[in-house]
Amino acid sequence: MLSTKATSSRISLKYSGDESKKTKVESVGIIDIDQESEREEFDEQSDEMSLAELEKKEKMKEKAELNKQLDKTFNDISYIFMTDETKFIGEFKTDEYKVTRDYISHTKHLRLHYTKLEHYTKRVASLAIIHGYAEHSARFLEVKCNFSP
Amino acid sequence: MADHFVRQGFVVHLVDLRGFGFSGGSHGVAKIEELHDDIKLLLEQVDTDLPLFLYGHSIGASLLASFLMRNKWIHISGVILTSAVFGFAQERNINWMKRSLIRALGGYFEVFKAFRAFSYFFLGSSNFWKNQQHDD
Repeated sequence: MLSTKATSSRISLKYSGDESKKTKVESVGIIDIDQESEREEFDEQSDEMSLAELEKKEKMKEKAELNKQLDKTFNDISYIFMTDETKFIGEFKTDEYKVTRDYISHTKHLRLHYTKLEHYTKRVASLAIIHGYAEHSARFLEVKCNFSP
Repeated sequence: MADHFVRQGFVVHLVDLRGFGFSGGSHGVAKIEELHDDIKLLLEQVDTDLPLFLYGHSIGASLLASFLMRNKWIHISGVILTSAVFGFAQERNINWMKRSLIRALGGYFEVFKAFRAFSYFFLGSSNFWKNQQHDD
């Protein structure tokens, strides 16, 4: 608010010599004052709206915390796989499932990197994922795409 | 994605195709049949007791489609194909010269078919598979 007043006064002083420009500047100053009043009204409205926004923000925070808790194990695994080279191949256990990383091959000259994720208790079905071009299988570990709402 | 599915009780199998990720082989030179062999190898790791679902993305979706059309004996419960490259993307405004080149040369160069052609030419040189996918 102070800055707008200062700018309007500064501009009016700058063009005080020319009357035609001065009127224009004055009009600009009036517009600024109108804008200030509109801003005050907007601030009042925003205070009323702030309660609903705060509730929304709190809900969003709760959801984010839940997601963090759910993805904590997964994030740890993804981070470990990216940073720790010793865990490139082997079996790794989490709270809910087991991850197996190994090489499979049908010829002596070619090995394919293979990853298997298996839940400890649930065994509903098998899902084989084939990655796309300019991709690799670990990308499907990192990308978090929840189909559930 | 894999994390989500495994929490739902799916046994998730992931593989780097030859030339990709941590697997061996050169990138971008594999033939369609070789990539089909990689998919076969992946399916050999799957338990036969459980119902099998296949998920393919991008060129993987196209590979899965062609693989399943050539191997109808495989018993699967469902297929998920996302962003499959079955045709020319209209929004990309591919030049007519490129289109004609791909259509003309796609039947002869397997690598060209696999990674640069976005049509059902990449199913193979045989017209049988092309017509079959066209009918589907």
